[in-house]
Amino acid sequence: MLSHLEDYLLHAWRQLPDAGSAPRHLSFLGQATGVSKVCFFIFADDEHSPRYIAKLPRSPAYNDELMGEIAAIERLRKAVRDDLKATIPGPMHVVSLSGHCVIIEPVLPGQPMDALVSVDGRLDPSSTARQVALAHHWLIEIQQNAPHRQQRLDAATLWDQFVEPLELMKTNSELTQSEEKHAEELCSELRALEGRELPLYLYHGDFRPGNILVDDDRIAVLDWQFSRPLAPPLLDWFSFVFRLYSGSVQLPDIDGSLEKYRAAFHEVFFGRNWFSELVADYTRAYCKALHVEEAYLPQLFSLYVVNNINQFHVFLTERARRGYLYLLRGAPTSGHSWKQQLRRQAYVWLLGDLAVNPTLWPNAAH
Amino acid sequence: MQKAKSTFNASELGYQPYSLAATLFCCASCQETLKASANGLQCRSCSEYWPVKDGIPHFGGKDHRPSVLTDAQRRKVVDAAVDEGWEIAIHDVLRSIDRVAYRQAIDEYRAQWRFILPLSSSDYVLDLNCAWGAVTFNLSEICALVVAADPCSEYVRFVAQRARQKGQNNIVPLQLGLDQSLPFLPRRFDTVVMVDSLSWFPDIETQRLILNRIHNVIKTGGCLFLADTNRLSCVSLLGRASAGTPHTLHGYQRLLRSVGFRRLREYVLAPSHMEPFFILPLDTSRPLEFFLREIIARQDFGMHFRSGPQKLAFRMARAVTQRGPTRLLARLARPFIPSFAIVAQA
Repeated sequence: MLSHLEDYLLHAWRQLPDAGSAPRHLSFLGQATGVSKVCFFIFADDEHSPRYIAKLPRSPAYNDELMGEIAAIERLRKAVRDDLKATIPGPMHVVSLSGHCVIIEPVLPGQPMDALVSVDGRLDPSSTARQVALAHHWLIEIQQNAPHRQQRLDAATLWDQFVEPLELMKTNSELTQSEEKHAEELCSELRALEGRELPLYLYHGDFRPGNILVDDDRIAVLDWQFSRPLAPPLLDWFSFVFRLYSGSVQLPDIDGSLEKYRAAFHEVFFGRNWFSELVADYTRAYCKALHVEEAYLPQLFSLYVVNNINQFHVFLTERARRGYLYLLRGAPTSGHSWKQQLRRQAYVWLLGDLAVNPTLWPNAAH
Repeated sequence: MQKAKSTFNASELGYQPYSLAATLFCCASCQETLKASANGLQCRSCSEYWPVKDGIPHFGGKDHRPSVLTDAQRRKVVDAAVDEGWEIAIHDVLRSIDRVAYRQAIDEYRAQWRFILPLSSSDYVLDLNCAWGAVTFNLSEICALVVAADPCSEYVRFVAQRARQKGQNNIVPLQLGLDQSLPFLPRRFDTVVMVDSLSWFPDIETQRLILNRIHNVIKTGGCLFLADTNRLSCVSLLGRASAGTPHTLHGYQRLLRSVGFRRLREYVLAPSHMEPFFILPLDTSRPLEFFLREIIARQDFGMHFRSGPQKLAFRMARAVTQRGPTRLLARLARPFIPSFAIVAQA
């Protein structure tokens, strides 16, 4: 495969974005830590650093997924300002080789954010504040600049963006009585949003520190495979702060222990500590900048949890067909069959915690 | 000795992939044609006989790899695959027995090195010591046919079950140990893959014999993908689970050349050949320098590394790469890299 890619690149070098003179030889460094993609850094001749990166699907079965990601990025690149364009992948050169869709794009500069905020299993307050500010600023900028929708919610939009995810969650999850009751109440509250002014914005879908490259005071954001052109506000933001904290305490995205997810959830959104205060302040600032009424924070927060339940359910169900299955540890359901366990992963339990304690709302809502 | 017409009546095995594979097989002893008899395969010339159990030809051979699972545990997994389906067998039964074995049994990450191979959709591939088939199934998505051979009959029964249940008809499971003559006609495979296998054999002469047999079944211009442990890696120096004879990079190169392989291309698989998350060529220093400078020293890809059994090694590597000149470090690190992969042309 790489020999085909090398032949192709040497031949088509001048078609690549910002290509100089064609090299005589290429070498490749493969990084296969992504979920569905494999990345190869491309070194031209004896150059010190790679100029381009080639992204390939882990299997041809993921071609469509990769094409979907390309389409999302291309749409976005057409829509945003030049300075924001520099913060997302591209420009991209797409080719099909040996049945694989291959994307070639310039390497984005920077160091992954998750390596910059954690010191010995704890968040470092000063570097964390700086990185949170960078991510917060970028998210607001891109959401303001990309196509968005700022009008009253009609019935169809309300269904697509708010109610249907909740219905899907109910279908795919094993809920307790109190969780079902909470879901019903949430459904009523969401339905009551019809006719209210609640904006919809671009959604990245995997906005976590590991997907953010930091280069001094600039950032670039990778991995757009879960993105949607429009979604309720704050989903990416809540996800970012929770995963920033989780990563710092070495809590993986899926297969950590339930007890640790609960503790992290509390620390980030409900606790009284410097980080939760920081999150609350930035959440309020986000609402102000993007014209989101703070009164809707409880519903949007629950929707963030519901969205994660659905996203992880889809991801894990697909993964079970092809690979190692990450599953929550330390939950009462841990000994059940994998199919049953998929119906109660971490975020279902976190929703349950909201259900039994209806006064437990994020600090920012107080 | 080559008999190009060699074949057996595959339809009598009752399993479709064997009709595809029929033109591959021959008598392992005299390379004459095979015929299907009541319960097995028999050489038309020397009458040697190999049983077929559950539709899977058994060509014999011992397993030289250490196993973390007992025979009974492996049988339990396969029985579950037969009775309840391969997904339950893997995700519920094997997972509950051993998480590492579970991960390696199914994780398609294990075959990421396939990108360095010149594979095409018309290729025939032989996966030696295929175990539960993680690599087999990945390769079968991009190749015409994968022969999945393993000395452990439970492993190949599982591969057969999973392939049948998925309706995948380009996988041919065989019970076959590396210590046996290969029951394939010469020059039938475009690629042979052998991961974590050769080094478990105790002496260099046996290893040479195995490589020689493999060389004979690869088409001219085809290749062997060999991935194994470095004799000078920490894992080897601290003592592996059992005896074996891993080599240095030069040792593997000499061995491969001694049986006729040529145009060797060498790679690093990191953190190991069983978890090839990073693939680096060794014929140029820049990728390794970049890996040390930008990935080991600056990325935090490694929650896995920070908390797993490799925590100490990762911390040390990180501390060194953050301080040292990477060009020099890349040179110094080269001999001690944990695992190598070599793509060798026949």
